[in-house]
Amino acid sequence: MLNLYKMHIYRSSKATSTLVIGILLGVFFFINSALAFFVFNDEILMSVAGITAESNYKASSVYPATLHTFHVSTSDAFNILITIFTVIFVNSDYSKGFIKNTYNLFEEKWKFTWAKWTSLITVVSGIFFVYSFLTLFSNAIILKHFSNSQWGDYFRVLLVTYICFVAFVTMTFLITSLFRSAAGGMVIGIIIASGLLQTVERLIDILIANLSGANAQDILMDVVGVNEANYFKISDYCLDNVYLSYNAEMSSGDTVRSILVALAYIGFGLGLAILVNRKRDLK
Amino acid sequence: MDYILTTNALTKKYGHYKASNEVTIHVQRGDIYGLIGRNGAGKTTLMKMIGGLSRPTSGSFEIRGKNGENTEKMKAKVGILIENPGLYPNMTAIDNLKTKAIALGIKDDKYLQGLLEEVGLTNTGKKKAKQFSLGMKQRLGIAMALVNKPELLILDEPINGLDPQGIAEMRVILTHLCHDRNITILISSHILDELSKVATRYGIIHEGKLLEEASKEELFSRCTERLELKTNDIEKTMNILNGMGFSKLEVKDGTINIYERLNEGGAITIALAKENIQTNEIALKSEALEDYYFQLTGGKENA
Repeated sequence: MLNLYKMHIYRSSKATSTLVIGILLGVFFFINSALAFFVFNDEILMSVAGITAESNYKASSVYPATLHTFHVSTSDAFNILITIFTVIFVNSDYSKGFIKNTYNLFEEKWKFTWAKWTSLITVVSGIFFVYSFLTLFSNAIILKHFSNSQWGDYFRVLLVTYICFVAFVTMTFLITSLFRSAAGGMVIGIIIASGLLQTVERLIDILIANLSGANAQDILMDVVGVNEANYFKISDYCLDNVYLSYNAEMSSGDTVRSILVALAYIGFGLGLAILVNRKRDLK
Repeated sequence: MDYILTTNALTKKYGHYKASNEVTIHVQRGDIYGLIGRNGAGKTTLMKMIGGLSRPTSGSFEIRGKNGENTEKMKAKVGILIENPGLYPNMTAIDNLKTKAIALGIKDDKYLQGLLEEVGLTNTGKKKAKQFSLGMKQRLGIAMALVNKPELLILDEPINGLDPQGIAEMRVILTHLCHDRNITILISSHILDELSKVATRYGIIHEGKLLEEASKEELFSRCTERLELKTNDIEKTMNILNGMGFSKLEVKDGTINIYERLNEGGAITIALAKENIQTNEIALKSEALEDYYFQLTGGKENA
């Protein structure tokens, strides 16, 4: 199984898609750094971005965790690129027919799914951390209000968003394994990655709140993000919302919930992908 | 008999459709076993099951006397090239080989270079697989199938779409692998003429069923010889031939086929001339493998 893992790493290192995605991520890195530069060097834009005096953070300081949260919440393009990469990575040995060269050599087919998932996670984790650290490093240089403190918050946010990111990649992995179609996997993955589902989840939240007799004002305050309402919200358990909304100000309860939700998605996604691939014939 | 592969009523069903219907074949070590059948006959389905790419609905198969379905080590001795070579188009020949070699834990670059040499692809350098001709891709596909040092090579339509030179090169490679490396080959094709030049044993498959399994000698002995006669008056000719005592006759597409006393062509010509019947053509013909195949599978109209 280790050899299969190495094979996937090797083939991804040789793949044109890896190079193209790398270049696009480089371009996106500059765009996002420029965006951070303009937002965090401007008091008004900082207020719009939510870095206000009302928060736990001073308006005049930009902390590492704030920057990370900012980049995650404005990283639709990053997530979409990772989705495209994941779909190509998962689908390429099927679409090119290479799978036929190795599939007969291993009796326990779950090894294929496991090896492919672990190698995929290795590659995208590398991309995630390199991108995160490079962004932070460049922001630390270019932002005049950057505060070299509160690193504990940064690593907590980094860890939680990383686990959510792995869960997000795993769900894309599952979708691509289910459909075995690059187009299908990309469309669904991009819809999730771009946060389009969050609107639907919010709507369901409001419907549930209404049905459970919640106060209309509470619902409104919750929707606009002023006060957190105390009713069941399905969006708290939807991966896209958990991933894109997590920030340093969240409580330890929210942190635990976010991690558990992400781990549940990883377990479900990987488990189902293994089950689906285990007894499938190669077409 | 030293069979490297036997199947026992191997069946694959898709819904109610039986793509492979209780197929039982016997492949001896050292054979080049030709699986003959038209498109959709079930050749690929059978090969996929043996190659471990598809699960049989029922039946079983044995590789080197051990149940093939459950024996990982046995399957490791099988190399496959089914439908297409399965290459990464943006990789070079050696990188494609390396990718498979890594999956198998093989780190011997010299061995991989040797494989390229065997299939005549040593000079491809940095050329990517997508720039290869079909013949080169097929040969690289065979090299890929050889990476795991197989004892049994399963090749599905490897000569399909190749030009005459490509076919000839493939023939040389297959013969070399069988004779020099002692690799048993199970090869499918619907180009019977080409298959007949390399195969030593045949299985004829039609609509998922194995119709016949025979050695090259057995099969060719069934391809009967005949005298083909064309004249300007078939009816009179038939009367004369009957008068001469010929009974195994058949008229087909304006040609009289005579299946007995094949050395009496001269006498027939003289007898016809005496009755002022013009002989346009008389020749000794052997029924081709293709004709025999059509006869077995229900005629050319089915092809």
